[in-house]
Amino acid sequence: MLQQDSQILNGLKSQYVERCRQEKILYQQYYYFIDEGSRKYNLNYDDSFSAYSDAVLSAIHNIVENRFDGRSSIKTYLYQIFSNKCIDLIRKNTTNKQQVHKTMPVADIISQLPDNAKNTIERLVTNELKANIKKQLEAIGQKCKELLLMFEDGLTDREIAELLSYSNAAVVKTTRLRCLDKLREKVAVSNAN
Amino acid sequence: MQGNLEYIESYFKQDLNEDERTAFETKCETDKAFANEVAFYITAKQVLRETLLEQKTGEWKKDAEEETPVISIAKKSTLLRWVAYAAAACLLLTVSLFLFEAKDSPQKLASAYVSKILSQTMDASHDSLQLGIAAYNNKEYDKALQLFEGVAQRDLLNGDAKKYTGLTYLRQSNYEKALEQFDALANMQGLHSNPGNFLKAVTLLERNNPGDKDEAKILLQKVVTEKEDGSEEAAAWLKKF
Repeated sequence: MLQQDSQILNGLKSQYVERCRQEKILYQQYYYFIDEGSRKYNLNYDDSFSAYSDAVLSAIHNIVENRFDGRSSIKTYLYQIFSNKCIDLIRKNTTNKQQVHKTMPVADIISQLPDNAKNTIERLVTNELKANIKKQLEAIGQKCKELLLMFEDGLTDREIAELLSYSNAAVVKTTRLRCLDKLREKVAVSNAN
Repeated sequence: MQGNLEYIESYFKQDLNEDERTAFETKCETDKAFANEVAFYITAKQVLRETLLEQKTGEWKKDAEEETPVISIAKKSTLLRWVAYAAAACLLLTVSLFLFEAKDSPQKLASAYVSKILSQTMDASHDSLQLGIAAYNNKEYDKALQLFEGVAQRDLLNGDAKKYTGLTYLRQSNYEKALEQFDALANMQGLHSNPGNFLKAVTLLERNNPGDKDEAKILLQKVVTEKEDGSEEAAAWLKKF
């Protein structure tokens, strides 16, 4: 493994401050992919930029959660994810131009459900629900939002407890779920109005 | 309701046992209020990821602009680029000639077969296997594996799930895991067609360790003798050994 790759991998798996530093290094390192994406996939700069940022975040989460097995270099791995994101974007743009969808593309986690349950849930995941959640996320308070975002960033309840000075991981979990429930209630109230 | 969210989170973090997972999946179909909560959970996760991405991109971009820009491949001079293109063309020609010469080696035949069979059989639609196939075709092998293995775990008699799992491992050059899957497939009884032994031979030829070729040859002979799936290719390959 390249020495530079080892440094990034170890940094991403260490303390949060160091992880953030390595995230920036990784992001800068392959910034030129954006130009390549524009050329190869005929995307405009903004789309290629968005695909690149999305790819970097996915790569970071995979590394942090030990889903990157290290059989390729980080560059190859990131470029593969980036290419896939570019293709997804092209498909999404093409589909949006052709038809108006009520439902939105759903997160990868839904693929864990078997087909029947998945179809039921997919019908309920709408653009309207997404827009409402986005709006209500700003109404649940900064602390709640920060907690939910840190968990989404791959930090464990224990790591969050250390960073935000909670007494233990169980307290973080309870608070976090309470925040999520608060968000759900606000979305429900907003829907009812 | 907070209890439900914890339950939903446990499902997606794969913390539930098999019975609990089945109960969860049934509840999604039969309990509308619960299904709405699952839809909320999934959508909230997506919104949080997008918000996180927005925040991070802002920070990364700011730092990238403040610091000295790294040397980008895109900034190489035009002359250098043309020299690189010419060198690449020469290299490509040499490699093509080499491959042309070596195209009938057993290892090449195996690789060519894997490319052919997958592009022929894997076209995407909407159930889990097909989603896995789509992920495979997009070279998202980890995602494809997750989907194929999910089907294989839920349906132990699904030969296709085993076959696709093995083929994905083969694409990742994880030969041991691929062989495990194809071996299990070969031992499955009552399938309309079973390419298990043939795919084991393909894997051995691709791996090409000492002794692999001989073992593959024995398997191919068995495939031909017992007229198993892949017997035509096996017969043709045996002639070229």
